[in-house]
Amino acid sequence: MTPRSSKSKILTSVDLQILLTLANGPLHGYGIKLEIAERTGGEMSLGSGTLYEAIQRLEQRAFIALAPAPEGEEADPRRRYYRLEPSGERAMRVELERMASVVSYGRSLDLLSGPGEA
Amino acid sequence: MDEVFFRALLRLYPRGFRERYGPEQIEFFRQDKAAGEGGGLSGGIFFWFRTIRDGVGAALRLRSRLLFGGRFSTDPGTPGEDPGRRTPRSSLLEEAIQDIRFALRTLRKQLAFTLVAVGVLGLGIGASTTLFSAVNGVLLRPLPYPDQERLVFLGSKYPNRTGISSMSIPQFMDVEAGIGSLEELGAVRGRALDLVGEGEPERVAVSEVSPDYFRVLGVSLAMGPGFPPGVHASNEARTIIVSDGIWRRRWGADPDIVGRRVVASDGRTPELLSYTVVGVLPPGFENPPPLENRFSRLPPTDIWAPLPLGSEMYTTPRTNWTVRAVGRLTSEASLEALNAELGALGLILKEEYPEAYLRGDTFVSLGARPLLDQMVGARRRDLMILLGATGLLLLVACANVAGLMVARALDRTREMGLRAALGAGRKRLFRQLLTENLILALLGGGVGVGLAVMGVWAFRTLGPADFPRLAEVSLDLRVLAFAIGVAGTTGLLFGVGPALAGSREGRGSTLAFGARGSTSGGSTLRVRGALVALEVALALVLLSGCGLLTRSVVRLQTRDPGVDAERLALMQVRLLPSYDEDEERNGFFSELRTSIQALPGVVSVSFVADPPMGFANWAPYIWTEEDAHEEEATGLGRAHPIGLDYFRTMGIPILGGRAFTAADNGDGPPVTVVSRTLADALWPGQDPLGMRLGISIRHEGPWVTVVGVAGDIRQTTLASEPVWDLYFPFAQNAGYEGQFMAIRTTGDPLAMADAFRQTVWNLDDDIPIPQITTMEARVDATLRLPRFRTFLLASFAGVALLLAAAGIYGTLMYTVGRRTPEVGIRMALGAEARDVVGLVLRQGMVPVLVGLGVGLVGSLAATRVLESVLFQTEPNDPFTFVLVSGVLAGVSLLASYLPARRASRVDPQEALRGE
Repeated sequence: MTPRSSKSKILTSVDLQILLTLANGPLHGYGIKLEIAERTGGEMSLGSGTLYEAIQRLEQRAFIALAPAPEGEEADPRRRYYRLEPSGERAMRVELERMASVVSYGRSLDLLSGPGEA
Repeated sequence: MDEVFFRALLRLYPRGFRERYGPEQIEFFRQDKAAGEGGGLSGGIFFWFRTIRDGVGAALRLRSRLLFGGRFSTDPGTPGEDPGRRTPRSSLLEEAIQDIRFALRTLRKQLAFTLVAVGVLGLGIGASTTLFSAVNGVLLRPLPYPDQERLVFLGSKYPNRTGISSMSIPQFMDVEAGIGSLEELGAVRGRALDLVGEGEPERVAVSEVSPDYFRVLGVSLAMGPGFPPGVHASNEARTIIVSDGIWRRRWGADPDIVGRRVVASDGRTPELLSYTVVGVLPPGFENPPPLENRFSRLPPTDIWAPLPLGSEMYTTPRTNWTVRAVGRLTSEASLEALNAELGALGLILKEEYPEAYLRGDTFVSLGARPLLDQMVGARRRDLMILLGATGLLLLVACANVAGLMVARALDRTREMGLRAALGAGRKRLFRQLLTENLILALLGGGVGVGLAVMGVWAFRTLGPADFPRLAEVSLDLRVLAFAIGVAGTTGLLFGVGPALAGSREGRGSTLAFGARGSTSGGSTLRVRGALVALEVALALVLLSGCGLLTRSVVRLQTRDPGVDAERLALMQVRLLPSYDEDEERNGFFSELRTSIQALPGVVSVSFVADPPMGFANWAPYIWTEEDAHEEEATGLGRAHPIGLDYFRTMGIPILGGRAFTAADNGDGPPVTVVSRTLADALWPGQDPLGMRLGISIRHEGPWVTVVGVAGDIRQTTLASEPVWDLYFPFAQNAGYEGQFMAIRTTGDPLAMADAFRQTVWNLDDDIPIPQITTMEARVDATLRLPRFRTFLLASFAGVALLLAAAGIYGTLMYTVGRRTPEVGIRMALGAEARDVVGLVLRQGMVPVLVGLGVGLVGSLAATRVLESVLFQTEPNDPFTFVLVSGVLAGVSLLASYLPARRASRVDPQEALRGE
């Protein structure tokens, strides 16, 4: 069997999208799904299984945590809010920087046109 | 509903995960469903496809992570590990996936084998599921009434008969007053109403019911208050409850139906009557078949009216057995207790009214039996025959699957040996074979489901209309699971066992080069030979049964009904009671006769009350002049009131004397035409013309004179024997009501149906015409049940024959493949192609012959159960047995010949090179 411990440190694209979404403030599960769908133009439409599988993963790594319901809304176990934790923000930054370096390398090879050029 | 399913989906997740995120996921699902569903059926399917794929995928990942012993424990709060779980179970899921992939690859590589195995499994599963479903639907599934097992059918009980018959209203009142074992009791009596006034005149079946009837069956009205109290006292309160069907069909689901007045004729009073609707029954409600109105073969009851118990309990004779009763046992009472009570009541009634309940030596008592038994009674035997056939077919399919698997297992001995030698554990090999066989069983099950769906459809569509509860036959999932289980288990036993045995011995020997001829090959052949013999034997039993039924149906079909059934229409014309004078009726009918006769294409026209291929209502006792003073009648006749030209129109020959003429009317002396059977029985060797008969009433006359002898007819079915038929002219027997008009045409009679109808309505547009049919259709209807029975058994026999042929073919192909080198050597040594063919054929036919022998013995025993449904065919009919054995042997020979031919084309050099 191949060891998978290293893999567990990598953020999957679903993880990253969830962290990105929570960077704007706490949100509940279905809200996360809606925002991701909107941001990706419907390309990433998460089912509840996939979403909560990722939420569990992120919670267990302390990247996100339960947040109190926003004012005016009652606490409801069926509609819990999640917020981004500092460690999650760090992991997100590391991942985004890694991606950015990949992107700039790709750009240096003239493989894609970026916003600065045209 | 949807949410229930989603909750079930959630159960796939590990428990900890489910407890922590379950409620949120349900909320997620609700919103997703509200928002995401694309609408329509395809949108719904797509939504569910996504949801299930997502759920199953996530659940599998989560569970495999648990098994893998990763960092995710069931408690999300305390990240940790459970090292004890890690190693032993770690690879289980991965291995399962590996096994599935591998199995699919293997099955795809051996496509021919896979297709045959799946086909055989599918046929067996499909056919047996269809039949089990039918038996289950008709026999075993409870009636659609609450607490149905406590419902009983009760009524008159004749000694030595299991069935229960109807009873009279006074009897019903006695039962209602005196039986403690019953919680509720209801009665039904059938009649008909002609709805007139609005829309097309229509004749509908009516059930007159006692006050508690609906309560017994546990049904409440969908609309309306129901019968007001007191309506059962007399006939005066004309209130009706209507079915959901007629409410929608005739009154366009009018929401204000309750209170509406409906104009109808009850066929008794001359005036039209107005009935008030007081309720609508829920959709799908029907009388239980034993209580259903079979009045004039109308569609099922559409209107329920009060049974006038109050007025009729004193006026109706005790021998007017017109009501059928249903009761509900109290929770304490047993059927035995009820029957004891009814028997005691019967004895009391016998003492009190011997003239009603003692008929000669026969004491007509009271009794009860479960409603379901009463309903299914007569068809139980048919279904049991089919059930037996199903079992046989499933056995054939299993034997076939077994044969395939054994051969394949042997072929794979080397593979198994190799894999064992490379270090695969026996458990692992076992699991892999198990996976393969499970996949085969699933695929076969899928094909089987498809076939079963079609089969159930065929059963419902082709089945005879009077087969009870046929409409309730639907695909039964438990049955399907059973069939898949049986066939799948067979596959496992015969597939996995030998392969593993091979792998054990294989570690050493199978790897030896060229080990094809190892001893296990011989034993496999013996097993396969035995399986082929078994298949042939079972197929022969099915074929014999099918052959006997076919022969019986053919004999029945070619039987002469006594009338010329071709180009003969029958139209039922029923006058409204407003024609209350005989002259009026006679006037109408003679006008109708003239108008129809004048239509182009009509040869002749007549009237009859009870045309052949149906029930005859009038069975009078008859006395010859010789027996005039005997207490006992000479015999029981069957009398038919007929119109002029009847014999010519029906094509019944006049063998002596004359048919009726216009002079045989009320003014002339009473006359009759008798059947040949009657004439031969009463006056053997004498001239029957001029003989006189007393009808119904002993020696008081009026005496009727025989003026003619007609050919014999078969009255109820083609199987019925001619009896003492007598014909009387209508003109001497008042009453035209509800009679049939017989019309002989030059072309297709149904093509003229509209012309006939229009002719009637030109004379009076209020007359309802329930049906225009043909004599051929009536004959056909009586053949429907025997044909259906034969069709079913023939399907079974056909499938069994196919499977047996496939088994023989498969076995021989396998043998030929194995013996290619041997054949090569033989041919190199000078054997002719013919010799090789003979060699293979001999080998193929040995198990077939053994099977035929065993099958013949089995058939002789098994076909005995068919005895009661066979017509003029003995259950051990030698012709049939010879024929079906011949067919089976022929098919077997063909199935053997193909492999034999292949063997004979072996190129010796090619064959030997392989060694």
